[in-house]
Amino acid sequence: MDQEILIIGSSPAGLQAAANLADLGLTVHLVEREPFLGQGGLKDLPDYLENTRLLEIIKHPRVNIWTNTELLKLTGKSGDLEADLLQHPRFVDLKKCTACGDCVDVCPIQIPGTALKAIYFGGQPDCAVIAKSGISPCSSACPAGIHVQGYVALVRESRYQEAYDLIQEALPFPSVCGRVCNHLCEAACSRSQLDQAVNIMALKHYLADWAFDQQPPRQIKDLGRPRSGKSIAVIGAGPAGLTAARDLARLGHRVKIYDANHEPGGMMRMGIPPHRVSYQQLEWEIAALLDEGIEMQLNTRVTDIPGLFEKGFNAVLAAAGAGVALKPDIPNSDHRDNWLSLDFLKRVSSGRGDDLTGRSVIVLGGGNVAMDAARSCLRLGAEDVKILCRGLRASAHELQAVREEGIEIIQGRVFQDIRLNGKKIEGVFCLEAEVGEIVNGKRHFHVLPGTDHLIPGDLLIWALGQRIDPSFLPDSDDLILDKGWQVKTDEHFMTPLEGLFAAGDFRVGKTTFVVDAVGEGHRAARRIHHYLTGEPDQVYELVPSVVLDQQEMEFRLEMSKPAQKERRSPSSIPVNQRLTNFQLVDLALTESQALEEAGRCLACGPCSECMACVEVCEPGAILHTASSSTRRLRLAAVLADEMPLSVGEGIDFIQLGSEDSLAGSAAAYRVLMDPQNRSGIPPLQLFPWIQSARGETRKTGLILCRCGGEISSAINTTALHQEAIDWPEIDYSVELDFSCTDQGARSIQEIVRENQLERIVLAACSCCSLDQVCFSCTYQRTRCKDNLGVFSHLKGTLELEFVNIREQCAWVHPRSRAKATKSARTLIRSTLARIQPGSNGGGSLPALPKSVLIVGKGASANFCQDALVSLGLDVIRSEFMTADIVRVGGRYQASWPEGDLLADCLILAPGSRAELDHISRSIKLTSQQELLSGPRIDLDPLEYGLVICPPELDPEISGQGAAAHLFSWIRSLPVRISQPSAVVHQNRCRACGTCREICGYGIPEKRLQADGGAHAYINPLLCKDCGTCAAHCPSGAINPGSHSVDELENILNRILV
Amino acid sequence: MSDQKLEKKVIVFCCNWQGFRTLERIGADRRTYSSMVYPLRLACLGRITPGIILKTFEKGAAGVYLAGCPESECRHQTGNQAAYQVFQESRALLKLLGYREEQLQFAFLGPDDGERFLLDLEIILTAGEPA
Repeated sequence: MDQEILIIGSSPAGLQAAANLADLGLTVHLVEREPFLGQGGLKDLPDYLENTRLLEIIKHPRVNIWTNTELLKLTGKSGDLEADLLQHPRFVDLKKCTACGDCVDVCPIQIPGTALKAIYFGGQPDCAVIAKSGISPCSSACPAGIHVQGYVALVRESRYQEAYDLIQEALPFPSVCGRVCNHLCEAACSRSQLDQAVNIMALKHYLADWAFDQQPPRQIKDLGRPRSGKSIAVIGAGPAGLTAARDLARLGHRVKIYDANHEPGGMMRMGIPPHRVSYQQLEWEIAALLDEGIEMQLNTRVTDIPGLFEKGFNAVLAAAGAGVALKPDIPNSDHRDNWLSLDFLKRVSSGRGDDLTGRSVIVLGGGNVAMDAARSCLRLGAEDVKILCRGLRASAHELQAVREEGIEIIQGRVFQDIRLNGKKIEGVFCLEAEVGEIVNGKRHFHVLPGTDHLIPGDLLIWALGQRIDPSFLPDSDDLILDKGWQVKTDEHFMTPLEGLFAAGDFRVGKTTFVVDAVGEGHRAARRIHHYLTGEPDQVYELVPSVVLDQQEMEFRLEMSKPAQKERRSPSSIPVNQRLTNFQLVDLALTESQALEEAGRCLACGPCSECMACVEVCEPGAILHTASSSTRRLRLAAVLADEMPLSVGEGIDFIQLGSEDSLAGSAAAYRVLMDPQNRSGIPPLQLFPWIQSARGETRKTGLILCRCGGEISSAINTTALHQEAIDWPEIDYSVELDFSCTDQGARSIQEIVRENQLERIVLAACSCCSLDQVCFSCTYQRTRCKDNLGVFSHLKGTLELEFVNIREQCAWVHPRSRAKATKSARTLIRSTLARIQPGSNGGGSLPALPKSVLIVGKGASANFCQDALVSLGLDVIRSEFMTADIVRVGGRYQASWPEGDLLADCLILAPGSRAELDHISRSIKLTSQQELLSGPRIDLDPLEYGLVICPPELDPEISGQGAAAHLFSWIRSLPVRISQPSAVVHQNRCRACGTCREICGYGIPEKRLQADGGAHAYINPLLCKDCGTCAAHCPSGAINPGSHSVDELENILNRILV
Repeated sequence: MSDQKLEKKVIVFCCNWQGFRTLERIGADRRTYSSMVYPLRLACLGRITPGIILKTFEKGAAGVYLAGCPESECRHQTGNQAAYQVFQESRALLKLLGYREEQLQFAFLGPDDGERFLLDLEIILTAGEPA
């Protein structure tokens, strides 16, 4: 079975257990609910070590980090468990984010009640995370898929162009939908449950006017996308057809639109009179759409669909709308003064409106089209206009306008027949009807007998709804259903005729709103694209919508002063100025009103999906459509602080215990004690001594990282790249956009392979090539090193050297490109000198520490002893406390009057704080004060082989924890053999002892030679290669593993030329 | 500090740990220093010797800056103190050789001591100018 361990929560104990178990060779999964590790703080570590510690764990090759993850279910029995994990999306790729912070700068959203933006950083892993619990209700309600909350948020920040562009992305006709939409977004708005919805449509109206007023120059966009070689004919230049055409063009297809009318726009242009939408703005929007490389042929009624395929079109989209107005078949409905609403509105919209002076008009119908027709009649001089209908379906806003303009609405009537007086119509004879129930989505009316009466009027305009005209399709029963009311399509919007698709009103068979048609256009385009290329038809709408509860809404309202205002509605021009012309009636909000209204948004997401972060993210790390994923793990053991019953009732898990780090080690000990797991620890592998290849002439490449502009904007990396080819040390040079992303690593691998490089110098933000995490290290640097194999304990033959030209050049010399470039050149050339002859040892692997001295009277000492023995170590106990303890040769020597004790490691197990102080006074280590009284420096990655059992902890936990921590430290030592260390030149050493005195770790020891002489010896497993002994050796007998005098001199030569 | 005045370079020896972090912080905070200043990273400032310092001057540096960890926070326990001794010896030697004492500076720097570093640098740069 798999020897994998699951640890729930990145508490200090959880992190410690992960580090210990991974060092012991087990694979560890560390699950953290939050997006960042160690959020509770690592209290027992000194501050300056916290970041380093987290990075050490993150970069550990055997630790798998699961942030944003929860444990769903745990099954099985101890030793053979199965865990189901649910990982919530971070929406930012951990492999790509460079932590530049540009996304945070542009994010318009603040998470309510915090100082954080909706995209934020907060620790390790140092990559952004987006706070998005779902799609905001408004965005999710929009049939066209507009990121509604996004543009509202951008308006609030006066970022109108971005807001307009965001709408445009989903909806090519903001000017229309800013005026005539049914705004499902507002119905869904959380705010509507508190007081009134945000006036979203008015904001869109404002933006449409704003954009039009800017009159940006029209530009023919060269989309520069690969052409697919496929072409599509779109029939109908209405909202569905135009939208689909634009999407398809953006996907790289050639698109040609046919329309029977003399103007594009379909119902938006022909069916809505000019007092409601701005034709000028619409024309401008359509022109911009066509500029994306779409061909259009007007005044052309397509009648031969098979002919289109013969012409070479690979697909045809029928989006001809539902343009046939309905008229009931009642007596005298064929009289010439029975007009169809759409014919009438078409004449109005083309400026050829009829003269209705003196006419008494009855508009029959209760929808928005009827309102449009009635209001148009008034403007054409009609003496009297009435609306007659069974029930009203028009929007409240339209009904109000109709009433304001003095149009009488008579509802609850069923039409009987049309009465004539001579050759003229006298009126409509009707019956009253009561509103009945809804059956199959249709409202029924109950006619009241004996209520028949005449509604007088001499001109009737029928606005009872529209149907499609499928007559241009091939005549086939397969294609046209329901006596011509409906076209048959499958779930891919394709008709039974291969390659013929339908969308919009034409597909659904009735009149819908512009946003619905736009949504149809998007979906049709995706499906056609799928049909033509086989690429998946992604359904973005399935991402769940966020639901705020009452309490949360009230909290957000309280947190935001601007949100506490009341809803703003735009004004309209006075009635007496409207009726003689077709001027636009509804005015836009003023800028201050728009800002105020946008401020009312409660930021439900809270991320608004404004996509500003996506725009600025150079490495393309942001993925807003990411979704949750599940993962099943097979495990040997699970470590947790607590286990909710719902997750794993009755499951045997190992208690992580208190927040103290050592409790994590104690939990690790319990894992080790399971006989199954112990057998699973891989046998200790002693890595072969790796001979440093430094100093040989090897093929060397220079890689210059631009850091997405962070470096290249200050340093002329291109010039450096070009001149580097002529440098004698360099065989190959290249520039990269990012070297720390996985893509960057792949490029580097490729470059190395193709050019057969044996070593590379990477000029980026990283600084050392050691398997070491310094205080200035970052997630990106460790990621970069990890990608390049620095941490893999058996490096390949590739030699790496790093130079930091970001913080050390680009950022400190931003004003002069020439100087920054010069500085970078010098640093790179001096780094080349680092790969110079150096001596890095040789020799055999020293024995691993095996003996442990336990000092102290605490109860923990017994537990610790038992644990150490069970782990196979030798234990020496001492309760004496008056000894002097020193570290010599990397071992601990305790001297009593009775004699000396010598052990490789030391554990202090005092029974009280006072006893600990007492013992610590007898230990003669350098900086002992800090070592013993401060935070847990003994758990530091740069350890001494010394662990303290804190007397405050449960003795079993502290004793066993100390044992496990020490054991994992010992087992991790062989890895270090590949790290540089100081080496003593025996012939030059005079055994003076200076190195022993100056070494902060007490590592050098005196060794006797066969001839009776002596020399110093430095254990390479324990040496940290700080170089201090080398600097102070009076006979120059010590060679440091790195930074030899020759190397430093070479570097100085390069800098000080 | 104007770059024009300075014709010679300053070498900053700093350790991998706190000293390097101090310099990085200066860059990350987008503060600037003369482009004649070159950091030279060591594993620990304890590696520095009078010989290396004198060599640096001999090769034509206008000044040398030694950036060590804060006093009790040396990552390798003794390196910063050892380097401080070296600093004192080297200053005496430099004086003998006719350099100005100010051309060699030493500081125990924590990550937030960037300001201190920049001020010290100013002293070196002034002292390093031809009299």
